[in-house]
Amino acid sequence: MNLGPSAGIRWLNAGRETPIGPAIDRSVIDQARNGDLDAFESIVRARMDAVYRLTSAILGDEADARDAAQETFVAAWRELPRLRDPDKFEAWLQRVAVNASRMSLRARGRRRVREIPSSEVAALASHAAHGDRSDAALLDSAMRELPIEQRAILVLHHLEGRPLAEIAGLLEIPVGTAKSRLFNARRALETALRIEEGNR
Amino acid sequence: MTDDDRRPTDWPDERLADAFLARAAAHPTPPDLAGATFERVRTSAPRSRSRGGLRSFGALAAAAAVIVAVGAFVIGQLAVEPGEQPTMALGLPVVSVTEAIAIRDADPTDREIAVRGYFSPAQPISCPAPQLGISENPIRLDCPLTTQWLLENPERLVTRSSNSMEGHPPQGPAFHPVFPFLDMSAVTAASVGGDPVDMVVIGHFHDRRGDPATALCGATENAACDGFVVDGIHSVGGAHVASSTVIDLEPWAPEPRREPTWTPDDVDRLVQEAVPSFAILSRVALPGHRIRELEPSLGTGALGIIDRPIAWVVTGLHASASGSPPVRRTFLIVDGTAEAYETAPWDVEPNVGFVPFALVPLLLASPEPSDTAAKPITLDLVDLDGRHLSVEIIDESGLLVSAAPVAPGTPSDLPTPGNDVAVSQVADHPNEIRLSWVGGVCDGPTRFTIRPGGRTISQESLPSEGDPGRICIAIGIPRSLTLTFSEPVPASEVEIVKSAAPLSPGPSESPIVSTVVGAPVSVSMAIEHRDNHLDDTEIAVRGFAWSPAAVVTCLVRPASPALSQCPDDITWLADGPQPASPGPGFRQPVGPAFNLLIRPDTYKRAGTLMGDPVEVIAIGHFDDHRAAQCPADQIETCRRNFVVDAMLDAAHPELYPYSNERVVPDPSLKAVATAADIEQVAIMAPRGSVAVLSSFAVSGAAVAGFEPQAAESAELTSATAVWIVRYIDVGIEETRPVLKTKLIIDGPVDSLGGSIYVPSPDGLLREVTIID
Repeated sequence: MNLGPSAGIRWLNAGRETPIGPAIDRSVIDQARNGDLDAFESIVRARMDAVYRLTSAILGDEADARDAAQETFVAAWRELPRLRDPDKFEAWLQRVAVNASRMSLRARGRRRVREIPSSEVAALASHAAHGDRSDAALLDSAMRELPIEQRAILVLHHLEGRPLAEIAGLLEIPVGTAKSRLFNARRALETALRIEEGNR
Repeated sequence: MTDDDRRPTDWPDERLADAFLARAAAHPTPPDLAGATFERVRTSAPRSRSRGGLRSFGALAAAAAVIVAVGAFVIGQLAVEPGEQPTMALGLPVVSVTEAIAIRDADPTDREIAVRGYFSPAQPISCPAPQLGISENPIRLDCPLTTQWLLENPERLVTRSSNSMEGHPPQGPAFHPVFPFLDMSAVTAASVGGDPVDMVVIGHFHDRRGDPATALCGATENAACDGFVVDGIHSVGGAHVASSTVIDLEPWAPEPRREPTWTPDDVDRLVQEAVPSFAILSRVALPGHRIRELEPSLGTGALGIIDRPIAWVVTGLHASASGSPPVRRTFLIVDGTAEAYETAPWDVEPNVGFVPFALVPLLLASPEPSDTAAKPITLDLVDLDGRHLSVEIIDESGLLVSAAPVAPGTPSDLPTPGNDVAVSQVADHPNEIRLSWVGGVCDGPTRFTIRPGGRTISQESLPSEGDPGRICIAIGIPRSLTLTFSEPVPASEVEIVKSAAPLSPGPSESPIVSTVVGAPVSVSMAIEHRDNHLDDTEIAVRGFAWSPAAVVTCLVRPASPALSQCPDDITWLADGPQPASPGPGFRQPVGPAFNLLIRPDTYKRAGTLMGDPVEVIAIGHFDDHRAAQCPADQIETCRRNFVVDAMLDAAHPELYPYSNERVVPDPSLKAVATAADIEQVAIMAPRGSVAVLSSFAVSGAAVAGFEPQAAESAELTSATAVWIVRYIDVGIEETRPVLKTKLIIDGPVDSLGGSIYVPSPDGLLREVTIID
């Protein structure tokens, strides 16, 4: 299946580019909208990395991210005919992925807990403390402290490199709301990072 | 100085982006994921084509033509002369069906538009019966709504002969309208004869209840919720149609039918007072438990609407001062209360879609003093467990406009010790005050009489029809009601005066009392338990308690809370009344007795113990888990000490729910979370469903003083604030009542579940969340 130009699609991210994969030809999207499973399979393979990166970054858990990525494409297959503007497929797919991530967390429903001796926790913490926690590890821990909406907007902006206007469109909120949400999310992340750095 | 020097923990964008990328790189896509995903797609149910058909209604709609009986008739456009229809409707330009379709396809929002078209009602075809007769979603295009159209041209879609009828799809532009809970009488009257009805409707596409991301549309594969949702019928045949009122209060059996407190006019005034320039399109009254028929997102119990007797849903257009087109707003108001919500932007809470909305109190009833004074208002207060309390309000002031129960579960102020009823001002409502108190199941009907001037309210209990020998549960029931006056009434000026009649029977008339841990036992029985069956079962012990009347200075050494120290060793619980004159020195018990270990976090609702013995019910336990931290040679002694978790007045054995607010060991400590947040995280159950004795915050440095095992965790001891939650586990994880404690590090609500510690005989445990 021809996915179109080899240049691929990239989002600008703080002066760099985050690739989301090879560009998908409009005709492939149209074929998939019309029910062509082969065309849709090529879309799945072309965009799985980007979608999984997004769900993984938001959810921070491999099993959840895997489920959300699958749900993204199942929902995309089901809803593709409703897509008004196929030229906005990439943004639409990201929106579906964000929603799938959100639903993944909600679907957890009742939580089960198990209890482990705090000495083991202390040992784990000690191990982490003596190790050199990378920025990625600190970020990982800090992100877990944030609500899903804040994680999503941070990931879209700082990982995917989406400008505010695009985030607003993607989340279907006013730009001003996106701006304030990003500000609050960033502030919450800094607080969480500060705590994590204190444990470093 | 760099940014990092000034704000050492702030991460510049570059560093943050690097960290995000590195974090993502550490979690590569599983190699099998694409294949597994596609397999799921391939094996999933086939994509519904009927949805697409709604937009390309040419060929697909033709395939959906319904043939009821064979018979060919020419389908033609009727020679209908367009009537005089308005070009504007409530500030919206009236567009054609074709123009509306163009708006639908170009604009993904749910903005309100006015459309003129010809309405062809659903055709009389046979449809499968819906499950339970309940609509899953009011905007879902289930059969036969898929045959209901708003047409550009006056096409007759059903042709009839003497013995047959045939349905056809439209040939010109058309879309499916839906009319959720709208009064259709004007349309029905105009459609006699089968011709399509020329009408102007106000509504929208892309309704939030049909958002595919929320799954509210239903599980049926062929479900479609993408029709045009009509919020109001503006005109039929050129004649203006009044806004819609639908009051459908028939309950699902076997609930009794309830009647609304308010009239539609009351509801209109409430909304329009709060939102000036609001043109109402429709108002609907439904029993709370049927709210899902109009708002599916609330059918799961969100906002508690399903527990309310009646809810009003009001939709209308709000004209802005800027001259921009009016926008649709929808309000949900709980009948007879100040509880109201407004639909929220969908991204705020996708599964609910409502946010609280403040109403402006109004005179909703006749303010005639004589009428109001002459007619007592009787309220039925129902608690979370469905227990009823009848409350009668008599207004002698002439100022009372209305009285309404506060929904159970709504946090309310609780009376301060020594008072029975708390009076508080409803926020931003100077004309409204709230009366809150804690009662028990043995309470009989209560009467409040508002004296002239409105500043004194007398309270009295009325004769109860109940069995005087019934069992009362020593868990208090929060009761609350709102009084709305015709003028501001500051809560601070209102005094509650108890009438001569006691609200609760005195000790001699006291009914048999049961507590959350069972009926109280005597001190002798408790001692027998301690000496022969020592364990940490939570028990209630009834007896006479006292501590020294004189001020006693004790030298308290740091030790386990389970260790008996001064003044524990001079605080007693004895089986029977004690001699009146103890003589010099500390009063020593006569008869069976043991010491009480009362701690700062003991919940107390009993009079002072200093002085003469008072009859109490002490809920507590022997064999406290903290005995392990007693000095080695005193561990067994510590195990035999009775740690008091709650001390109740035997004459008023109610245990306040939300008692956490009463236990504040460190008033200077400012916690981020609230006690309610903590309880939900700790118990994973709705507030009030488990007997929480206390939940309170202490500094990390002090936490080991309450729970010595906390010293094992640096995370706990270094925390700014740690919540300690004590609750009685009755049959949840234990087969006997046991006091449970959880330690939760304070923080924002979303982070609370991450650090929960559980003291136990096996040492300090940490809860780890496992995702199902």
